[in-house]
Amino acid sequence: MDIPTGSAPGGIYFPDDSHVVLPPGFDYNEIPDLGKENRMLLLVRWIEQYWKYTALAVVIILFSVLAFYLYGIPAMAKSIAYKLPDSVGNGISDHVIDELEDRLFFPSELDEEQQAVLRDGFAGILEANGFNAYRYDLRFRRSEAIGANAFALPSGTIYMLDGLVELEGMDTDGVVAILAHEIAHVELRHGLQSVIRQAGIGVFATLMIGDVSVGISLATALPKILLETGYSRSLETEADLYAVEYLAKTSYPPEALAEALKTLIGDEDEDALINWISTHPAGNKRYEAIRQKIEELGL
Amino acid sequence: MDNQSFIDAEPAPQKTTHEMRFHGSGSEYFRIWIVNTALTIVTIGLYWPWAMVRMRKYFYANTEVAGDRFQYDGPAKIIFRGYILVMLAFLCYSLANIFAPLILFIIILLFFIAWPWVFYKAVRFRARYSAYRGVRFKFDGTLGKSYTINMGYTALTFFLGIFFLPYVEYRKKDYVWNNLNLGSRKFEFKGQAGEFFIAYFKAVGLVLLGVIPLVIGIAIALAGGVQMEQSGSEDPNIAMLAGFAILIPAYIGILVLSAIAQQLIFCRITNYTLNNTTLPGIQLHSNINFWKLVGIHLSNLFLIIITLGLFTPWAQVRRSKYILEQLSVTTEGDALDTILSTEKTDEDAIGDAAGEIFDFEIGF
Repeated sequence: MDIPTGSAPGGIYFPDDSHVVLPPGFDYNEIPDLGKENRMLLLVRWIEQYWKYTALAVVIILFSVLAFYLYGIPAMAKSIAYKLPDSVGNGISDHVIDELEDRLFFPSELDEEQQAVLRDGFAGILEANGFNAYRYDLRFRRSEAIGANAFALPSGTIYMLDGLVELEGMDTDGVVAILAHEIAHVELRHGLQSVIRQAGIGVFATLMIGDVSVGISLATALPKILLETGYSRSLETEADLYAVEYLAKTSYPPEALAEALKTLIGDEDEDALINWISTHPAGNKRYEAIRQKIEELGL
Repeated sequence: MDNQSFIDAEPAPQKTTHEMRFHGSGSEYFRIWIVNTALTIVTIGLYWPWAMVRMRKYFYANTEVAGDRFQYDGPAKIIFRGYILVMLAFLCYSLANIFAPLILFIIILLFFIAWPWVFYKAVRFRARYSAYRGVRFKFDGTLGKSYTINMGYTALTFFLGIFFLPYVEYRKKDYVWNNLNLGSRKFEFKGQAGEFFIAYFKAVGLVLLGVIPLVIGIAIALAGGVQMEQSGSEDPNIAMLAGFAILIPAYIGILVLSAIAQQLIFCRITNYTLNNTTLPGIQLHSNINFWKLVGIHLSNLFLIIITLGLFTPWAQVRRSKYILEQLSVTTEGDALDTILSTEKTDEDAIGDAAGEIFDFEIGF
């Protein structure tokens, strides 16, 4: 059987392989012993003839694409991130660390005592939660260009910038709480997840647009993504909630994370565009989520 | 000159040119495309072979020469087996990529070994299920030759450099066209490799042209950076900003030039190959205009991007219509009219189809 497509002619193949073209109005359903496959194709042909069903197909596709983008890619990124060997995360991190140390960072001007107090808090969280302290490397740095910020690289190197520690209204508990948040990023492999998500979006865009060059241009930008866009809101919220759990096992109050977040949101309006909040989005919703988590845990 | 030969001398056969016509329309194909794509998605890809056959059928059945259409009837069930095999290979590749980079090397090697076989199978498959006036095409090239070209010559490019690549492409075209038959009629391709070298070198030159502004942009930005370092200033200076300002359009320029270079290769090689190909009593012609093709390709690409892919069916129809309508055939006497649906397809072809376990349908 040669079920026609659109207004083009179709026909029949006979057992001796000769082919006969059938007139446009021919009803293929009248042919005896069509078989399942031909019946299915006739149904497909019937659907193709109506714009209303075509519209339904558009809706199905848009819905699937959106669902894949919102849930499929993040879920795949998560499962891949946990399976990748540590060397992958370390490789990406080394590259970024070199770049940062060379160009943007200067030695911290915090006094030794203050640094020691924060290092104690940091070590306390790692120990109380049974994390491998050897993979972590807490670095205090000063950077006018980046301002009040802190971030974690997949290898376990965590940067705490002077601007954030010196922020008005920020206390030691707040800074330690933010360190707990950054530890959560490392433990939950958020860095790799974001890179894989971006790669997934690149491949996805290539499939949709059918042009490899666009996909490649997205892929080359990957190492920078870690720094420039930070993590998505869902990853941030996840890190907040885990940070609350980490802090709950120490003598540091989890509420400090919520307060620190509030201090940073307040800071956003007046100060530099580039700060912890802009790379760590949706402050108010996260504040509420942290409060709720603390209540749930009954702290 | 004696009497006998005078009587036998035939009158010069009358030459007739038949333009190719494409009757497909974007809005009609859009419905076929979207419905079959949606079915592929809801069946998590299982419907894909049926979708592909249906979409290809649309293009064949809407292509007309001398009043008759082409036919495509690739059996989706057979394609399905090949498709599952490819998916399994891809899965192995992905898993190896994550867990065992060493096995990855073996898989790539296996792919390299299997590729000539896949190429041979795919050409044969496509030919066997394509027909004109009910007469099937047939590919009778040998598997050995496919290994010579797709493995031997391709391996040689590693040693001889990419300058050898146009020759490999020439041998591929030669392999496909000189082993292709329509029923009992044999295609003959008499082209030389020269045109392939010209097409590829021009295309490479075009892309290199795009590299110049990129290099200038980088140079200016670097000079600005050095100056910034020397003056100890933290603010980027004008040279640096100007350098970066050049880089972005230069990068887009290279992407556009690569797209144009692809069209250049396609246009020149298709024109040359078809213009040097004949069937007994039939000459093929191709007169694709490079600039028109580039115009269609770039505007298609732009519209596909801004519609997030929804313009794709219109783009495919637009491109196919332009290309196909630049093709024609010139026949001597009744060479075309004797191709009739009563002509029997080779018995071999039918036997082949029945005995196939796998087959591959890939784009060329």
